[in-house]
Amino acid sequence: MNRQFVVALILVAAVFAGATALAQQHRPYNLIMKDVGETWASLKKNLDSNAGAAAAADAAKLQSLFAETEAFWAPLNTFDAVNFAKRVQEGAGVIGAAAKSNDMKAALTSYAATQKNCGNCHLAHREDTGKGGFLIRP
Amino acid sequence: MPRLVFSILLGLLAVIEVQAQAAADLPEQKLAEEWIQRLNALDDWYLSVDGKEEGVEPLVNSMMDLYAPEVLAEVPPYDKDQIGPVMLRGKDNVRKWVERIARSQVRLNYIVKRQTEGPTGDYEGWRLVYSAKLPWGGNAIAFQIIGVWSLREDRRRYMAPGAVFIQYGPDGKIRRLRLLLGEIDQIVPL
Repeated sequence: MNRQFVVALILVAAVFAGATALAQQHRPYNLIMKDVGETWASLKKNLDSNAGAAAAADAAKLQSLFAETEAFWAPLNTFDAVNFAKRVQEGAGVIGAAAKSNDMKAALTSYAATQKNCGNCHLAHREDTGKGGFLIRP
Repeated sequence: MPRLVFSILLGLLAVIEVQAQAAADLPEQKLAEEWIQRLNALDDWYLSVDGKEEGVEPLVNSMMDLYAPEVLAEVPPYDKDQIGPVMLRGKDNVRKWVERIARSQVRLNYIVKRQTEGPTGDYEGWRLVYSAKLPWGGNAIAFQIIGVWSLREDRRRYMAPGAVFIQYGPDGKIRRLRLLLGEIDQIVPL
């Protein structure tokens, strides 16, 4: 009886540890940023063509992508990058809400304001290798 | 006549250039440059796409290559509760300090102050390095610096005038270091 209990306890602990490790893993940063680039371009295209529903879907995807971005930076003692990612999530929320209500002017205004966070973060944390790639600066 | 004036001017310029070169080539000058370069290089590392810190160790090792095992270093306080300077005894403690800089500061830009003769010549000219032979063997150098760095965590940028005093043993390793940074000010964009 005792032996069964110990085995069960070990199994539960192993499952818990595995789930925690899985939750802490994130996709490689270059893949996240690649998706961001594509979604950002799609969002602009949909806003320009007054496709409110598609733009709102893009904005929702951006919120999710920047939650990943925030999770990447959070353990790295680099809070400015975390804050940039948070602001983009907030901005994407505003863009999405405006797009849903077909207020494209407001959505585009928020789009431009939100995009500044991308530039500021790249300025601080992205270094061009000059060979078609980028390095991530702490 | 204009040719003569032109030739004299050209000659004078050449002499000034040679003197400047000679000053820059002095061994003491090179020691100072080497220390500053290795300090500034401590932020020259990257994060992998998986979020791992890559390349810190070689940069710290490069800085630590300059020090003797029994080094004594007096460095500015890095703890907000610390008021006076911090005395570090031994290479292991100095390494912790160097690692702390590498992992907590970015955009390091320490420069040796330049100077020319005259009351206002503080921003151009020669990087003066003062030197002395130590009575117990080895050399010492001292030079004025301006330290500029940003905190990794929030990008706040700081600047401070300061001075560096280094004593080398006969083996060329640093036995004593004194880094003074005064009037540390945060740089805020206008």
